[in-house]
Amino acid sequence: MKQCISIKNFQMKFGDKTVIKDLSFDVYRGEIFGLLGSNGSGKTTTIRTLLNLLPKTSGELLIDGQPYHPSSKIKVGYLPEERGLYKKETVIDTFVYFGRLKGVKNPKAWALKYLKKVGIEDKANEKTEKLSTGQQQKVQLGITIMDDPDLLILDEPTKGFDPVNRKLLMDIIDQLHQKGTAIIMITHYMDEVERLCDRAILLKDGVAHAYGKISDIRKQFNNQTLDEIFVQVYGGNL
Amino acid sequence: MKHHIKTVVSFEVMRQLKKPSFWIALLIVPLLILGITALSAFDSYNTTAAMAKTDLSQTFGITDQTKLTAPILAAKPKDQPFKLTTFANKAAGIEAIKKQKIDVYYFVPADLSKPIELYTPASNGSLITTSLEAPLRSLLGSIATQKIDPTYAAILSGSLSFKSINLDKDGKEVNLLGQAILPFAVLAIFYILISVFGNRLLFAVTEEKENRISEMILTAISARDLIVGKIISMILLGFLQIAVFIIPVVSIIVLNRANPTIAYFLSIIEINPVNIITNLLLLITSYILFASCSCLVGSLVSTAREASQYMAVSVIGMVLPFFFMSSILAPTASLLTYALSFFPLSAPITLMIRSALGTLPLHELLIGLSIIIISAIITLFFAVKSFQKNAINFSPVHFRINLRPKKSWKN
Repeated sequence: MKQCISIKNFQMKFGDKTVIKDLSFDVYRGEIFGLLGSNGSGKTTTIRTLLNLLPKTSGELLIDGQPYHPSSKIKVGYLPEERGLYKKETVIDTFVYFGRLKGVKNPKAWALKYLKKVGIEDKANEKTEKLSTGQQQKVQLGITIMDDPDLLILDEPTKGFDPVNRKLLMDIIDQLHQKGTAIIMITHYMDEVERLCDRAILLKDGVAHAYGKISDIRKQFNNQTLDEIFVQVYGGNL
Repeated sequence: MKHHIKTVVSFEVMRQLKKPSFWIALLIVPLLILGITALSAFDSYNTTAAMAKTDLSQTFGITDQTKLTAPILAAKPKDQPFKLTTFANKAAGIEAIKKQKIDVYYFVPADLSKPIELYTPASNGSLITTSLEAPLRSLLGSIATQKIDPTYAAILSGSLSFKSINLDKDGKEVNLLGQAILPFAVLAIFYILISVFGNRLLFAVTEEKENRISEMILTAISARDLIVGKIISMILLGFLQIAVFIIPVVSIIVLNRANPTIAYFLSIIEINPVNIITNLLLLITSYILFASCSCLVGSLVSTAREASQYMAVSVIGMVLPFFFMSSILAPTASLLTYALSFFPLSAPITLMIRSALGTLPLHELLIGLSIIIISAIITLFFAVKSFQKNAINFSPVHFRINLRPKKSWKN
């Protein structure tokens, strides 16, 4: 499989504190990859550095063979853990703005089709602040995938999602996976990882504690479930 | 990159134009000007009408010990400028006031170096009686003019007028006031711009952080393109503000050009292209500097409210010259004037004032302008860097000052 992300000897310090000591892993096109770890283990920092939102201390973080820049050829969709919307803008205007930035040809048409698909077409001209949390999540998700990304990074995607939105997200992940999109999932829900991910990495103390196919990781831990492995690795550190 | 900046500019401009709050802020200054002008014109009309009415209806009494008014008082009522009843003595006049038989009573002493006494019934509520002095002033003035050599009439009536003439080095007459009006108008526009757009700029820069959109948007567009787009949009909106400000002012002037005050104002305006272009150049560069400062402050903090506290420092720096006007207005530049002219934040207003007055030599203008442009570029550079660095910093900023010495003096 063709490599999509390559991280080698990544180190990250915030002042005197080393968050990532030495991290190396790859993500391939067409796979769903789980980036796992307890709170504060450096998952979000790794993604932010990979996307050039934070400056690295050392190491090599490449997407499609080069450091990421918004002008890069590869299309990246990122649904961060800290996510919001322009409160005073209408749903459709928000889609059109992001769509234009992402180079979508007809963002309005795409948005209307998507809103219909997720059942909130009547909210197109509402200000986003008027939407419920679940409806806002649908809009955020739509913005993330509207340019049909080659790489989709989802940081705690189902956090706060109701079962309907969770199902919707899973369907979208499935569709994109079938199209060959590389997907990175940061999540604490091990059942999702077990069900969706091809491979995963477990971060602990700034290094990879386990890395590989899900089945291999389970073998490494005497065929325990990922939930059990997580508890064993992180103990009371959750 | 250009496509991204264009998208941001179009989004930022359009969303501002759609906001009622933007139009309120945009129109409030011109509307205030229109309102005040209308109110002033209405008040002036009413006052004139009311005074005319009062003058005609009020009854005046007089005891004139100088006998200057005797010929007028002896004339037929239709030949008198206003209805005037004469009283033999002060007591009789005061009694008439007490009984409210008359509205105004003048006691003119024989010696005019002493004050003329003016009595009105307290129930009339005449707190300010200046207008009531006018009829007698006018009457005495006309009598004095007839009696005395007209050469001295103006001196006596206190209506001496002066003509001020400014000469340049070659002895050529210079219309300083007329030349300063338009450059000062440019300065006023700059002041309005920073007042109206200060918070708007801060909000524009902090909005993505406040609403937690930074991470999503910065994977689609670089921080530099985003902030440059925002600055350009704010500059464009600033130009819109200038247009909205200028149009009603020019309309008022054109529509009321027959008004003596406006006609006089128009007659003295002299267009000095050099001064106007200089101030326009200063306006544009200074606004970019101000916008860059706002962006820098906005990029350092996480909310617009937090930013406005720090931005106050920049605004104080900008308006600092107003506190040292006497020094700036002096014909010879002092050390303080130089300091204000070349300190980046205070330079815009100081240079605009000096340019309007014609006391700014070309080399000082070029130095000042260079300082503003270089400062704007440096500030913009740091604003972009800071925005890039702090775009995903959602926590409040803390400026820590370590007061402890690094090395201990004790071994």
